[in-house]
Amino acid sequence: MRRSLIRSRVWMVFALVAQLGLMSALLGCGATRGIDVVSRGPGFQPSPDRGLMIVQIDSDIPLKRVMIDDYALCEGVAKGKHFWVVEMPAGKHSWRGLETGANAGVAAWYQFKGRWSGPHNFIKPDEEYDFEIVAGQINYPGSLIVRSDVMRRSSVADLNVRVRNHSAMATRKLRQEYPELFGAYRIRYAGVRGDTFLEHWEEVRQRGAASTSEGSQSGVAE
Amino acid sequence: MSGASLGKARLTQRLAVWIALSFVLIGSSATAEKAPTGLSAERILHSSGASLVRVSPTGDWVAADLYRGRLNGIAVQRIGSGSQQVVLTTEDSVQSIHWTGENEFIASFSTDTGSQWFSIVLSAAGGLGHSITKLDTIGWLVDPLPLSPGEVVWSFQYREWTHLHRVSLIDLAGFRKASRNSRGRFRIPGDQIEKLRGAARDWVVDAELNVRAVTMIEEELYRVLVSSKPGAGLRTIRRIDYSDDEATFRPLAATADGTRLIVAAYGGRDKIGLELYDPVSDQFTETLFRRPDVDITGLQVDDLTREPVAAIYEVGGEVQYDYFGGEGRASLVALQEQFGDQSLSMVSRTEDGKRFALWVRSATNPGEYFFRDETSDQLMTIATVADALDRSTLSRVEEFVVESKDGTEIEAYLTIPNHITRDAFPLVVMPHGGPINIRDRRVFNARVQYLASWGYAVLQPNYRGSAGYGRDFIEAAKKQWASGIEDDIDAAVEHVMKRADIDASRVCIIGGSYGGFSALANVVRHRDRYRCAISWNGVSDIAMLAESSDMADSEDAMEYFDEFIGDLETEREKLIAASPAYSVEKIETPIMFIYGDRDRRVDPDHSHRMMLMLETLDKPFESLEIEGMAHGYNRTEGIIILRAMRRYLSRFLYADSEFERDPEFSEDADASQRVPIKFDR
Repeated sequence: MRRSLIRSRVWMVFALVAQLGLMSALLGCGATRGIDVVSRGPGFQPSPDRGLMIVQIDSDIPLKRVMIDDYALCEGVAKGKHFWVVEMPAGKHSWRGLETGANAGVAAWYQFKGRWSGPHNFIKPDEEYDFEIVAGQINYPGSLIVRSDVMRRSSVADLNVRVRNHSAMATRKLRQEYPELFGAYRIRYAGVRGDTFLEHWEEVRQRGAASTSEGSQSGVAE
Repeated sequence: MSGASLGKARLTQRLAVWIALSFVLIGSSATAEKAPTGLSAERILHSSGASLVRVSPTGDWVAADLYRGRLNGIAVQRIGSGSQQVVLTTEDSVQSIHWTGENEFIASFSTDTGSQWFSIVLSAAGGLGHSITKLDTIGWLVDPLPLSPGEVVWSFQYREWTHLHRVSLIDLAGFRKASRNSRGRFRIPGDQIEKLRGAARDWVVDAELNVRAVTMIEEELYRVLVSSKPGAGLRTIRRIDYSDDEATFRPLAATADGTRLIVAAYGGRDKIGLELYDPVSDQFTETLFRRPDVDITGLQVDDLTREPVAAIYEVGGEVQYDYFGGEGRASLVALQEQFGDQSLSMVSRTEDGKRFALWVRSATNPGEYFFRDETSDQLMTIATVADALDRSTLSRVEEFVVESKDGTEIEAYLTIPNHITRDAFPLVVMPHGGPINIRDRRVFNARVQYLASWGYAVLQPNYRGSAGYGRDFIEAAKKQWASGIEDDIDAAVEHVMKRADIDASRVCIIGGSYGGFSALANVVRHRDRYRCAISWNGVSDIAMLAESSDMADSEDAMEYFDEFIGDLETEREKLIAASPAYSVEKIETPIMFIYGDRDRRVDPDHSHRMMLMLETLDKPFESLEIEGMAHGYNRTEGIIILRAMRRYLSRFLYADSEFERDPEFSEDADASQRVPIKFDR
């Protein structure tokens, strides 16, 4: 009797944990004001004053929240690699900080830019956290890489959070996961560093498309 | 902490099995498998054997790292007893073994979080009992003080200070617990020798434990401090910007009389030599050793007396030790003649100087350890590196010199398979990484020998910028990505393609890091020279190295980047023009990309950039992403890479033959056939 009671309580706890896990999995990017997640598949209608943004996060710990400017870009981000497209207001923005999960084994708040009112750990501010969204285009601001397995450098921050430029990786992923957006919009690097690779790729792509088009026309003419 | 209390049951169990195996196998003979077609990647990278063989100061014991597959073990054997024991096993690699007394030594392992040190004390009674203590400490060993049992000189880095202390191993073991005093304040154990603000490296300590020189790492500079005489205080004599070769000044040891320092420096010449430096006058007073043709790359210092023993350098790619005068020199010179063109070095010696351990190696010999007894005039083999490898399957490496387009002379190495009969071999061009201050050598190279065993000739050019050839050769490589460096590679390739034993119609180019860049740059350069290319962790976009990599995080590295590669502010267009990711339209060669998703030096996006462009242009490529791999690779990743490379090469260079998989390799069965250390007499 006592054993079955314990067993049922264990199951209740398990069910509760599973429910919480499911809830957190249902959360994701674009859950708060100003940001709308773009669904995979056809039917997306762009807003005139907004741009599309590729969100690529690779974290080896679960993240409770990822902040852009003053609002949460993503909530309940599980450990691992993530890829979304969201719609954002055009203009200048910054990755601002992140909040780790309760059991991540590191401090809760990490700030990249600006001021937090609460307790936080400060990570070296850098221009790499800034980006600009252009309306009517797909903007890639860099990928957020969160590593907790780096050597502890000081007692203040033991989390390494960097924005790395994975523009080709993101573009290839976009073609796989959002094929309808891939062909429909120009893709641009939105970070502040002067990377021109995507511009070069767009030129080659356009040239290829133009020559294919010319080729097919001449084929018809012959 | 004893061996049984290591806290890892798995480890203890393995230890027991290993000990049993070691005892059972004493006296059994070695067998070597003949590989009919080629070697297995496991055999060549994952083989068993012994390394780091060290003789105790009294010559009673020998300690070594025994490795079998993924497992490393520290083994000891009493000389003359014929029985051995494995005292510690780990999957981490063993970094060092140092005798700290007659019956005790310390060993370090490389772990994910840094080095882990253990102290091992053997039974003084002469049996095989032992105790193991984990040194739960921070910092690193500076001097094992083998003639002062139980004590070492240790460098502790704590907050903004570096402390150099003479400390007992007992205090070192309990460091984390015992390092706070009754008021909770931090206390470094032992006797302080020196305390300096900042991060120190490369302490030079004389036989009386006086600090004679130290290099401090500062934001963008290294600061060298020296003392004018034993016991005098340290003063700064140089601030060195290490991107400035002229400033090279590396204190290595103090002279026996304590008046001068031995420093590796250019000393106003083109090659690095060993100069005697007078700290009082701040002048070089005499050249201890230098050569007109090559840099001196190191100085061997006696473990017991701290006196300089030999200058180390490479000629024709072979590592050479030139022994200075003193006891035992004549014997070492005679032994060197006996071993011919193999590299011979003394790795440890006894206190009386009459017995020592020697390490002998070459391109076709991964390494053998010998014990030399001067009193009985005996020389015996005691251990073999990678002893599962049948040396007759390994191929000889030829050296040649060729002139590049602008007249620069380039040294290169060619490995021709020597156990396969064939009129002409397909060629694999394999430029090294770097490109600056890295080089290939004519020593055993697992990757080269694996490919040679499967019938590929392998070319390794030491293009401009490679280490060891002097300052002008380094300077010649400045801003020469995809230009002068590739001219040098072309010169070596064209030279080799004229040989009758090379099939010039079947050539591929492969490389990692800068070598990966070079593979890509060369297929941009030559539309039809290469049948295929493989780039692992290879750079494709030079500007990206300066904007998204661990180099980009360091001001020092970026200064180096501006000077040696190019200034992004003023030379971006030139760097883009030299970057293969921007010239994919010119490529007609199939390419394979191998990359790690954790590479912070050459970001995986370098490979993705190439792949995105090739996809867009509908050109062929293959890729292999290795999850968790960083810029370097571990043994398992190395096996994956070797196999993938050979499979890809075979499609283009042995297209008519059916691909043959690596022979089966069982490390346990393999290991059970041999005794890694033989020391019976």
